[in-house]
Order: sequence, then structure tokens, then C-alpha cells
Amino acid sequence: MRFLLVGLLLFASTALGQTLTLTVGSSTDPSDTLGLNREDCGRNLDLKWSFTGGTACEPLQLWVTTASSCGEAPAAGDYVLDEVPEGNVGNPGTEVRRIAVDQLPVFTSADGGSTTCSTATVDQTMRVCGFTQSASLTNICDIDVKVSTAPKIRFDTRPPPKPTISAVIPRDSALGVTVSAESDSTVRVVALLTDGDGGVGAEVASDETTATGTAELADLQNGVTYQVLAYATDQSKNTSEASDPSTGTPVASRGFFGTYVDAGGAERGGCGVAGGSLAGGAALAILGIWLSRRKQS
Amino acid sequence: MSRATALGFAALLSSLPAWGQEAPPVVQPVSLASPRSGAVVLRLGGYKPLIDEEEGLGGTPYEDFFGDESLLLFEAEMQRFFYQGIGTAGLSLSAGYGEKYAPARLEGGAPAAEQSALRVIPLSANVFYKFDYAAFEWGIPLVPYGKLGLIYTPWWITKGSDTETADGRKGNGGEWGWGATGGVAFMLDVLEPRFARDFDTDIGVNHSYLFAEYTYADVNNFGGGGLNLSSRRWMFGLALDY
Repeated sequence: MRFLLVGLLLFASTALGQTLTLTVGSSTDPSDTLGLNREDCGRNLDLKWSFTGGTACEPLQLWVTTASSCGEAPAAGDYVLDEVPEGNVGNPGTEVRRIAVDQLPVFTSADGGSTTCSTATVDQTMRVCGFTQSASLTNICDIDVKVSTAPKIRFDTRPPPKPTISAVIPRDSALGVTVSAESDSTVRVVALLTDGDGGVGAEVASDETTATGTAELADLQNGVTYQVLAYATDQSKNTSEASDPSTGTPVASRGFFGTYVDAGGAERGGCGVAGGSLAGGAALAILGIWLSRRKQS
Repeated sequence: MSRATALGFAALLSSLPAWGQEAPPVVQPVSLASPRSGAVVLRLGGYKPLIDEEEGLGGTPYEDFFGDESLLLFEAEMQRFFYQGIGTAGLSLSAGYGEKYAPARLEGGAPAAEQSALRVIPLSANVFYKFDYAAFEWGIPLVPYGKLGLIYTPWWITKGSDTETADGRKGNGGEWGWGATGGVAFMLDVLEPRFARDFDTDIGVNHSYLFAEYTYADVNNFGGGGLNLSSRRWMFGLALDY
């Protein structure tokens, strides 16, 4: 019983120490999702790997699957890449495997998708998987090593739903625009001049924010009514239709300093903060160094 | 009396003077406390600048804008002891931060959608004296103290996300001044003496105090005009001697 426990511990510690990491494209974080759309159909994505904590004794298998987890081998319909010889698993050097975007498994009829990349209308997330084996302490090639975090590729040709403008906040020479859009998208908000006939004129200001953020449209004219529109762009660079339009009119306001100046305050302002902060910070730093030296002596 | 008994009695008598010559052991008091060289002080309180008392001001802009409320001010101070005898004296540096928000005002006075804030960073260099002799020698856990210092307070006023500009003037600057503080600290060691000793042995904190203090500060560029950041305020906090 004791030997069994020790054996299990040794086995577990060895297996836990080995890590297979995959990265796709320019990303260095395996937890990133790479967004693609039809414009990427001609691309090849570099797939890099690293293997630490042991020595591979079997070739590294690599594949792309639409399944929600990787498993230990590619399934039917998965996009299988050239395997990596066991000698190169731990020492890839500049070696990479290339994922052809137009060969992703989402375009096969078996997956219910369209037949070609350039005509597909699909929103599918895929995982890039890897599997090899490593030798245990007894030199038997029987330790399974799977990719620690499977990188995700999202091929998406469908534009996100149009965002919603939930509030237009009038500010001094500016408008704050609060939006709501599909998660993981970015939202571009624009201000347009309206003409006398109720039509829309030129774009005069824009800003970007997160899916549920507030954009700041600056350098606008107080008292002028602007039409405000928002567009959501997803990770695959698909852009939504414009949101339903809203309008907003910047208004002049006075903050505390304006109120003080209006009351005849003599303060001229305009200097001193940075210098004072630096002086204070420097003084505290000097005291800190001095005190630490006293403590050491 | 037999010869043996007489010899034993004589031996006993002869040994008595030897006992008398042996000096009793002297027990020297040994202090286990770590050296005490400074203190760290953290304090919190309301800070209401006397902006409305600026000479020549035609109104009460602070009260009109922020009402009767104070800024919440937090300060940290590092003290260095130069004298430890009948009390303790030394130098200290202090830095703090306070802010106050209120809605900006539209032309008619109604609140606007964006906020305006007054922010300050009071900095000071002080000399101080605290009468802790009674606490250490007589076990009275109250330590009165006083402080006198030079103050510089950078400030800035924002509207929305930017520093506010009004009539071509930018809403930031810095004011010089001076301040005097008096307070009393309660030595916490008396509540848990053993814990206090462990605190010293483990991390070198000799004594801990809770305190209340009153500050009289004139921060208006020594009467030179501009934003008046003077105040009369109570603050409360924790001090640790090390």
C-alpha cells in the first residue's frame, strides 16, 4: 500500500511538471481568441509550441477541432496538421506549423457549414489541440501530455447586432454616450451634424469604447444638436449596422473653479501642482531612504 | 558530649563565617525592547478649506458649490526622533490626499450632468514634541503632543475628466502656508501589554497609539492671495513607534 502511494505520488509529480503550450499567430497568450472573417481566407497562421518539464517520446500531434474540448486524438472532420517528430517537440527552434484559414474544419459539409471559406456564413469557435507522450521515471513512454490551454480561433462572418445607445449625456462642449453591445466587441460612436432639413451632415467627432462603456465626443459646439450613432465591431472585425440614432446638445456649465472665478477669486492658477508633487515626493523619498539607512545601521 | 559530636559542632561553627562572606546575587534589569527611533502616523478627518474667506471675494463659492460639507482627507506621516529624554522631539514629513465632488452648474444654476471636483495634496514638514515621559515612567497612558510645520498644498479642480479652465485661467496650483497642531494620544500598550511586547519583538513596533488632534493651518501663500486652503480641523488616527 505504501509503495503504491509513493508510486502514485512520483507519477503525479512527473506528469504535473510537463507543460505543452500552443500559440497561434502573433499572440503569445494561449487564452486569447483569434478572430477571423472572410478577408482572412488566404492567410496561413503560424502555430508555435513549447514543451517543458520532460522529454517527448512520441511525435506531437496537432489538430484543429470544433469540439468543445481537445481529447487525446483528432476526431473525424478535424483539421489535422503535420505532426512534429519527438526530437523537435522540446526544441522547436524556428519550426512552426501553418494553419491554412481556408482549411479550417468549419467549411466542410460534415460540420454543416458552407463549402468554401469565401462564401461561408458562419460563426464558429474552434480549438487548436496538441498531444504527445513523455517517459516516466521507469523510462516507459506512457505519460499523456495534452495542451495546457487550447488556443481558440473564431471564424465569424456574421456582423454583431447593432448596439444600443442607452444615454446621451450633455456636457460642456462634449457629449457622453453610453452604449450597450455584444460582449467582446468594441463600439465606435460618432457625432454628425444635422442640416436644416432634418438630414444628416458630416461626421464631426468620434470615439471608441467597450461593449458597455461610455464614449466621449469632444470639441463640439454648445447649443448645437448633433445626431449620434454607434457601430459595434466584433473580434473578427465584422461591423454591425448603425444603432438607432439619438441626438444630444452640448451645454455650457461651470465647475467649481468657474464658480470661484465668477465670485471674483484672485487665484491665477496654472502652475505648481507638478512641481509641488515632485517636491513632496522627493522629500518623502529622501526621508524614506534616510530612515531605512538608520534602521540598517 | 562525645569527641565526635564536639568535632561536628566545631565544623558547623567554622563553616558559618564562610556563608556570611558569600555576596547575594545581583539581578540587573534587562530591557528586551528594540531601539526606538521614529514613528509612522496615519490619520483621517474632514478638511474644509476656508476658500470663502479669501479677501475681496464677492460670494461664497465653496458653500454655494459643495454646501457645508468637508473633503475627506487622509494623511500619512513619517517621524524621526532626535531627542528622547523628558519626552520625545524630532522632525517629520507628512503627505495627504483629499477630494470633493459636486455636479457642475448650468447657466441657470441647475446641476449639470458632469461632475466637478476639488482635489488637494497637503504636504508638510514639521518639528514636534510629545510628552511621553509620564507614559513610560509612571504608566500614565496619555501622551500630549504639539507640532509646528511648513505646509505646501498642490491642488487642482476638474470638470468632467479634465482640469477646468475658466476665463483663461487653469484650475490648478499650489499654496504655501504654516500650521500648528495639538493633540493627545492614548497608548494602546496598556490594554494588552503582552501583545505589545510581541509586536515589538516580532516587527519592531515599540508602542501603538490612537490619537485625536486639532490643526490650525493658514495656507494662503502667507497672505499673498489666491485660493485660501487654510483650515481648522480635527483628525483622528493611529501612530506606531518603531
